Amino acid sequence: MKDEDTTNAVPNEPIEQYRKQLVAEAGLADGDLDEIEDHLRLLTAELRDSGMPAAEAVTEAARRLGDPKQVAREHARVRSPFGHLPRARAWSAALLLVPPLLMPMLDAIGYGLTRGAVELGFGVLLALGMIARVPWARPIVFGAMAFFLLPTLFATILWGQSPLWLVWHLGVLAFVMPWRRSELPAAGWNLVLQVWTYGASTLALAYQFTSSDGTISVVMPLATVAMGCAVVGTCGGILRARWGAFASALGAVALLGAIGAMWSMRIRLAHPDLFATYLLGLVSSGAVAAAVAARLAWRTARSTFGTLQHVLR
Amino acid sequence: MPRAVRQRSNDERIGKDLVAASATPLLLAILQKGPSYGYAIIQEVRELSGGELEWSEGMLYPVLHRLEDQGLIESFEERGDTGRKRRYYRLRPEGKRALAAERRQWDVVHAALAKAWRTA
Repeated sequence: MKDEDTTNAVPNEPIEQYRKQLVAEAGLADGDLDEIEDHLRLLTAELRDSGMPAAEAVTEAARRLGDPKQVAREHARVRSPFGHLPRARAWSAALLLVPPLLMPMLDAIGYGLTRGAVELGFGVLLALGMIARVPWARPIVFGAMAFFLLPTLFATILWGQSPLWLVWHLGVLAFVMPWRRSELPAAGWNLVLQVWTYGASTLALAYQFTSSDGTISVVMPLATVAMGCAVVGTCGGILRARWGAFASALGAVALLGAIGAMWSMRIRLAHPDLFATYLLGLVSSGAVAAAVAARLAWRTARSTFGTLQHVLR
Repeated sequence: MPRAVRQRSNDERIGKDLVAASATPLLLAILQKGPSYGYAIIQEVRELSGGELEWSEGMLYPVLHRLEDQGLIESFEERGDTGRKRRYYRLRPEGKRALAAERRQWDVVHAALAKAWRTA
């Protein structure tokens, strides 16, 4: 295996500038950026060692590497800003996902177009989207499977749900999980966190909270706002639009408000303290996820209104 | 000190299309010798072609990633002596088969051109 380690004492600023320009043009994954930076450093070191002044060497190295905008555009043609999932893994995850979602979806449709039916139907569409290599399908599926892992575990241990569901859950998760840094760039993580926020909001909605004097809690309206913001934030994330960041920020505030209300009303649930802690913990994680998603959405946005460039490819 | 710089004319320079067409077989052939990484691959291309093949270095990575996406090569990370992680690429069995197919095709093209030029 060949290796060269002559990267010491090369000027950092122009290299970081080159890296920033790559990020600005296309949201490359950290692994891809590191790879290009490594090349730039090695080339700079080689030129400097051949007698070129360091400042000149880094400029020449950047020139030889190519215009960062063009390099980023070429990358974007191959790598989606929402990450890369090998075909075999996409098919495996989709084949695992569809059958268990399809039957309850058809059942749910029998009761009318309820939220459950829509969510299950969207899950089936996402699974098919992964087969069709729709780039944003995978982070959404990963976000959903990651968030609901703990509830599935809880249901298996405490409420005697069949362990087969847990096995199924872990199986899908194993196929969609980003095992390596280059698999999921920041724009993909934004979608993961949007779905996490959505999951936390649904959990807050799933239980009836009433205050100690019996008045209706503000948890439900606030969680509904957070859920809506997560949906809007996901759409903004797919379009890579700046407005998605505002939706996420609003979602974070709404969930914080819901958590405050849950806390102040001492959660009147007919469950032990452990369950209340678990519930508050997961909903709180949704607020954190929404705040981080807001930052990622802002950082990875292409423009105020976004682009349709990566919606289907 | 004046430097003698020999600028290649457009006729001498290898055309963009030919450079692009030869990229896949060249990369697969280099990786057949063993795992390597971007910078070393570029050096090897330069060495193999005697400096005649001019690749825009930044464009190498999209090609490598496309080959990875097609399942012909795979990447892995390893730390160098400096402690920095570096991404290496290696050939997969599918890549070996693709290289054999590329080789057959280029041999045919090469033989046809050789015959054509002998008779020209």
